Amino acid sequence: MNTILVHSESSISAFERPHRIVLLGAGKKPGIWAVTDPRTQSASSWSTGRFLWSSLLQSSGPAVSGVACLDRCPHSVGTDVMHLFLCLQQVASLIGADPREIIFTSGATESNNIAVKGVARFYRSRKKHLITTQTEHKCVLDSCRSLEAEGFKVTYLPVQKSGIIDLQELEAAIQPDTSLVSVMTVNNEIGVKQPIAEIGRICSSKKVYFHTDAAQAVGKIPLDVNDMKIDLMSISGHKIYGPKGVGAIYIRRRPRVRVEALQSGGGQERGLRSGTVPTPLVVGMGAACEVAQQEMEYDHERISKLAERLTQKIMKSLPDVVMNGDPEQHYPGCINLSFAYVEGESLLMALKDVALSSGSACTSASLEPSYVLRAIGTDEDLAHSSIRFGIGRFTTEEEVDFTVEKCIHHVKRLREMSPLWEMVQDGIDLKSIKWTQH
Amino acid sequence: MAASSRALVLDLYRAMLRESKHFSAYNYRMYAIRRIRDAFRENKNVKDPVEIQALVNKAKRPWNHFSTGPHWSTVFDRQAGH
Repeated sequence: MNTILVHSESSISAFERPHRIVLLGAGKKPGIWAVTDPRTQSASSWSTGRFLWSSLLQSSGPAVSGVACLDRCPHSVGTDVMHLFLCLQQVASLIGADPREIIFTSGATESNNIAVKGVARFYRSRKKHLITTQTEHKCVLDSCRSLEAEGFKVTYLPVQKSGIIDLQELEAAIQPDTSLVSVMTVNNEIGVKQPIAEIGRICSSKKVYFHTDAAQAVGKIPLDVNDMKIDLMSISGHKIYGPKGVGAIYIRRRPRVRVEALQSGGGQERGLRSGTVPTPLVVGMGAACEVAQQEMEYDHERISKLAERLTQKIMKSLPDVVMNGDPEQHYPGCINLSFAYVEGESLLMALKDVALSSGSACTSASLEPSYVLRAIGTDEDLAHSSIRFGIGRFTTEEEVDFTVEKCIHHVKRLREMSPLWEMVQDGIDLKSIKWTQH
Repeated sequence: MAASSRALVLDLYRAMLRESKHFSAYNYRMYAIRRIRDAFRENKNVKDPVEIQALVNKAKRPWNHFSTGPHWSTVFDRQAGH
């Protein structure tokens, strides 16, 4: 380890004495620098973070990525930085990226905001157009909406009945002034996998940046940002069984993607996301990423089997059940089923009790008919009676069986009470009925 | 040599299963028991002693690299809202 004495030029924290800078990692271009201040050990009044300005070290030579050093008893400054360095590597190796391309955020929502708004605003002088899909997560759609208010044009691509976008439509929608295409990898409501590699290929051939919200996909399906030509990727900590309140964004360095910072401040995280990096959360996320990488195959096999079990059992016992989303291009852990001729809310209330008692890991049911289901063209009544079953690493077979049993029981019960069901049994076509008011 | 390493591995297996029963959250407890059983079963035919030692070290590794906290089986108990 080399040691260099450098004078600080920082004006915010009044450093007067030279600081000893420790180089971590061998080689010409170190990734991370640590600053150890001789004063840290004694004074506990330095409770706020000590900032390491990248300009400080750029003046001393090698290229560096700015790192925030937390000054917190009992850890010394160096330990925190080592934690962060290791976590960067853990997250990066999961997606095939370089550790310097990862920035920690407060979650996938913030990452999505940074990606969409940051890229759009940086290139606003030349490029005013963005493309996204109608089934994106709310944070992406809302970011696009706020950009529209700033004067950008956004194309919301429709999806086919399967939930997958039409690649020809995407290619046709790309204009000379398009700066970003944002398509999520795995949909959180219907579990559909978009053809990310093909979209990446199209975007790179047209020189448009490609962002994907991979919150539901990271650690569950193999992802490689270089193979799939992804320029920006949002990662969520708690979706891969890490802590809540942390996420990451991958921002490509070669070729460099420029992003306008959303959050101004001390210049941490390459100036792109200022604010103290939450070391305990980041360590948790790093560990979760490492575990996810090792367990991916085992989990995927198990979840596929459980998902198969769930759908087979339900479809065998109940007629008129529709699975929303493409059955092939589908992540097995997220199953969305519509039960026809059943009053959606009552089914929900009945199963809500089940979910609470058997363990909320298994069933997640949302109340209003979602825009995603509307986008894939589901009828209003089927959209109302849809339930999303979430199966994860910790879901047990017993939970799946229990949920299936309760689901079948309640659907049968509700159908008994349903006049629509009676009419269908009698052979009446519901679409031909003229409903009158009286 | 082979007999003693077999005994060591079996001891480790039993110890890990015993510890797993202490998870208070149902889901984590079941996962731990299942995963330990599957992992040991998957590797039961490994013969190379170097590989066996590497696998044993991997099993003994703590949850994170900087564990200074409580025992790993109690790590999730506070979050066991299920």
